[in-house]
Amino acid sequence: MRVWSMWMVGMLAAAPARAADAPAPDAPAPEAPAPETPAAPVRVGARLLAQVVPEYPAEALADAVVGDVTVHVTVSPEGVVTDAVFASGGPDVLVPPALAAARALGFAPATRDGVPVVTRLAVSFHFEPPIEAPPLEDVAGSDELVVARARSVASHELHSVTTIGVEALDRAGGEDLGEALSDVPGVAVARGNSDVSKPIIRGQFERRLLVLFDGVRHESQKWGLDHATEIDPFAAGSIHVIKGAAGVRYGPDAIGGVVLVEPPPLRTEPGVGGRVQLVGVDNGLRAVGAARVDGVFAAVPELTWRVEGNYSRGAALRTPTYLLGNTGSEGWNLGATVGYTGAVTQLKVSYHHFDLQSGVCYCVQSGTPDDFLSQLDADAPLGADRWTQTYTIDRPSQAVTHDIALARVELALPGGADLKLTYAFQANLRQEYEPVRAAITGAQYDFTLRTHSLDATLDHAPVALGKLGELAGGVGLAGTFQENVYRGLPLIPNFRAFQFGVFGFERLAAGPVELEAGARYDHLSRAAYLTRSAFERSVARGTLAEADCAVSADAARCPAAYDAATASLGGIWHILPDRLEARLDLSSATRVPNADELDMNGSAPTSPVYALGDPSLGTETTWGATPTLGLRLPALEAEVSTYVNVIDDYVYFAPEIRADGTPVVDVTIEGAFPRFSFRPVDAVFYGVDGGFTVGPDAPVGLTVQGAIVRAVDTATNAPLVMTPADRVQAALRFAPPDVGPFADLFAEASGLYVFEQTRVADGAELAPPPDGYLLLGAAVGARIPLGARSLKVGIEANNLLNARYRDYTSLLRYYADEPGREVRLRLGLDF
Amino acid sequence: MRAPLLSVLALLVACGDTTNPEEVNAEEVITTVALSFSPASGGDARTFAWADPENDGTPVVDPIVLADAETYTLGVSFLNELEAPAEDITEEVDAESDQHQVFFTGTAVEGPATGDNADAVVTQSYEDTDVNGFPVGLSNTVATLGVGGGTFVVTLRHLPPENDAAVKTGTLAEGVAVDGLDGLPGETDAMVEFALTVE
Repeated sequence: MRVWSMWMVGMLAAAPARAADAPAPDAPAPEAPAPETPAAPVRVGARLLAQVVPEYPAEALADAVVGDVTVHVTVSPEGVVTDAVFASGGPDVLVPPALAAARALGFAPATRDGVPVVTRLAVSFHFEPPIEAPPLEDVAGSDELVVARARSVASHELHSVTTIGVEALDRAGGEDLGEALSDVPGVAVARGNSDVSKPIIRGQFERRLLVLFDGVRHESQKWGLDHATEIDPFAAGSIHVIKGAAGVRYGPDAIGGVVLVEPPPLRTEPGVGGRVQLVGVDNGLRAVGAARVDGVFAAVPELTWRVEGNYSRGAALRTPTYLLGNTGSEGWNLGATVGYTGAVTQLKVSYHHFDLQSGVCYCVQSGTPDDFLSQLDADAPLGADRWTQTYTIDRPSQAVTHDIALARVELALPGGADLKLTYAFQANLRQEYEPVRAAITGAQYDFTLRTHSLDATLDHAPVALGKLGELAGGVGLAGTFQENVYRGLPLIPNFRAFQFGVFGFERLAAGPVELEAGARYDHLSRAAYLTRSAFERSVARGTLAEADCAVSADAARCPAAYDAATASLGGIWHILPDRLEARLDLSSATRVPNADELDMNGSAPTSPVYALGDPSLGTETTWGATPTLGLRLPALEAEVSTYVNVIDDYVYFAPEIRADGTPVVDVTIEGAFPRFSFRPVDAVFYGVDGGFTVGPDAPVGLTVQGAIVRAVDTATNAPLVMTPADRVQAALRFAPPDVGPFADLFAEASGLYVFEQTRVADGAELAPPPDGYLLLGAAVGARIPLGARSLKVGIEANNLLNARYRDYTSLLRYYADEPGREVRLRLGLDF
Repeated sequence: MRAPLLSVLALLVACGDTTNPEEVNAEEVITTVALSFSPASGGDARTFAWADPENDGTPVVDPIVLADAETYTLGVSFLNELEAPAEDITEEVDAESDQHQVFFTGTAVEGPATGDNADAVVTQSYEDTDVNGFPVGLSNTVATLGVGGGTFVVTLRHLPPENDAAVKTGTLAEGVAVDGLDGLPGETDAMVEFALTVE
């Protein structure tokens, strides 16, 4: 299905290959690849009969909104669209007309051995304001229908992008953000010592990743390995994972990649709708309930609103052979959004609160290194036989909240330019409770991070450059004011920081080739406020000079300023439009060290190490190349992406080793702790990830994915610690025809094999890396149409064989096995 | 232009708590382990300390010197010298004695936590009990066995209940004798090593 405006028709002259590629209207669908055996069924895809031109929304006229919306439609054996679900794209104003048009489409049904069967198709609509003539449409009746020029994140990024859509998010319902991303090739998960996790993209942890919620950089104490990303996955309508250094657009610390968490589009048609989801998990006896209600009052159709919330509670998790005592958790989220769409203005105001309390496994011995080392080889943690599967959260534990309030104005300026202004305030509170004497109350580690941010982007109207093609681009400004207040056992300092960045990028679309260049400059001024004793410790250690700080009776103010330049050059080559494309990004980004890397000085609560920052650390500069090749055929989709990131003065956190090879230890009254320090090394990260899907829309489909990451200190050729091990995973999916009241039936069997990390440097590991492991999973699901509503049900099972395993990037690996078999039952009602 | 603008912004959004860093929660910290050996035969108590009053990893450790053929009452106390005046943590340990125990190990000592030790120059035995009748170790009897020396390790273990069930038992010291300190439940609040000489 192609719906093109006159403008798009104009593009055809410049891109004859693409026009030729587009099947003619009413063309019969190409058949599936010829069956290899006579017994194999012959499948013919659905063919579009009734074309529908989506109505260009009147409210978008003044803004001259341009966009693409992809809708997943289910076509019944009668050829009728029985379901249309928003998949991706936008802006929001274009979604309702796209859904309406999709529902009105008429098809000749797909057949299997000549018998009509139900199918699911992706249909994309391109919206342009009608100028001289009504939009022209073009139709292709294959199983996959895509416009020639989609404008979604995935299509304009120079990097590999994986989008987690509504269906995958439904299936991940009740998991945290890290788990929800775990099926993306190149993404590994760092688990903590409680029921939380965070993503690792191409070997980079959250320090060198960016997570954006509704376009705003998520700000938190993200340096902590056991500090999960404080974002509610139920608030997401789609998640885009951009792999690779994307510093120009998103900020110079986007070395490993960017995770864009996008809320679902707001409702535009009068009325009320929403969804309710319930999830039950056997491991940890966890229950989750979530609800979202969207509405538009008929009296004020310009105004749209959303209220959402969820609650979850779980008891201690179970490994195959013992309980992980005190790993219960309790969380809740609340959100409210109001949107306004005017003639030239769109406004949005939203507020989200995240709240999580989680127990830290009793098995974590945060005492002495002797305690730590002695339990490494134990078959089960000491005392595991005493632990019970209770919901009560005891010390040690974490209590975390994150609040974000944002206000956004989008203005359509005369001449076709778009101005977007976003202000956001975020407050992140993190309290960590250690086992202490009963006379002591409160948290032992108490972090408060307040962030104000103001972002402005101005996209100019596309400029036609004749034979050269068309130029699109814009400029942006980003300003941040941030304050960190820490109270507790010595660890990190207070700080106050101003940062501003200015960036610009231009893209030239010339026939099958799009080229993009971008540049960015950032300045950061930050003052650390240290207690007098922390200051004196740093001076004694030689990492702070007294002259660099203003010292008073009980505090020291140590200012520092950094400049950072980022640039990128790349392009997309549509070798076979909509079928085969190559992307390349060449970029350099300079990252400013974080406050913890400079000034951390203390024993981390859940690691038996003494962590030491270095206030003299400078910026680190990444030089990266990221080529990606993507293939999209009706019967086969594949993508492979490789990368090389050379990082000068990479801030590396690892054990300090003396010249004689023995570890440096810091003596405290609780014993001698191995010292881990932040120090600059020259490093290179490289690797490859990707996968393929055979039969993406066939009744039987197979997906295979894999990822390899290598990280090396180039001076010594030693591997860097905490680099995820190689992994390969596969999923076999079976989508039978509808049975009785069940539609969209599927059954899936999957397997993940993670190899042992054999690339480790001498003396750099607290414990040898664990063995490789195989996890099997299975899932079934279906949708039960109930008139205008639909009920979705599913069962997901992970670690089906109840395998005992430990993961190299999990903090828990030093103390205990990972949780065993997990069966999740989910129910969702869309209304 | 930028500086005044930034200061105005700072006034609008900044809170004073950032610029006034606090030392908090230091009450959990133990900086000093003090030992007081009172001779049964009378006379002044001999006092020795492992002290890191700045809690910066630079402890001053007194060597323990005891007289031969003497029996001492050993009192153990724990201080937080980051506070002024120094906070006596011993009272809290005593108040929660059902969740704490002091263990005495090292080459110089023979006691419940060491088992037989042919090299020992002193013996140790517990003289106090908690509400459950289990040893605590804030008060002990130490008798010298002969001239010589060795190490004397004092460990304060915090034994908080798990899932509301007590983890302290009456035979933890005997368990240390077999499995070492690593086999104990709970966490170490302090573990310090002295050199001990009997003259």
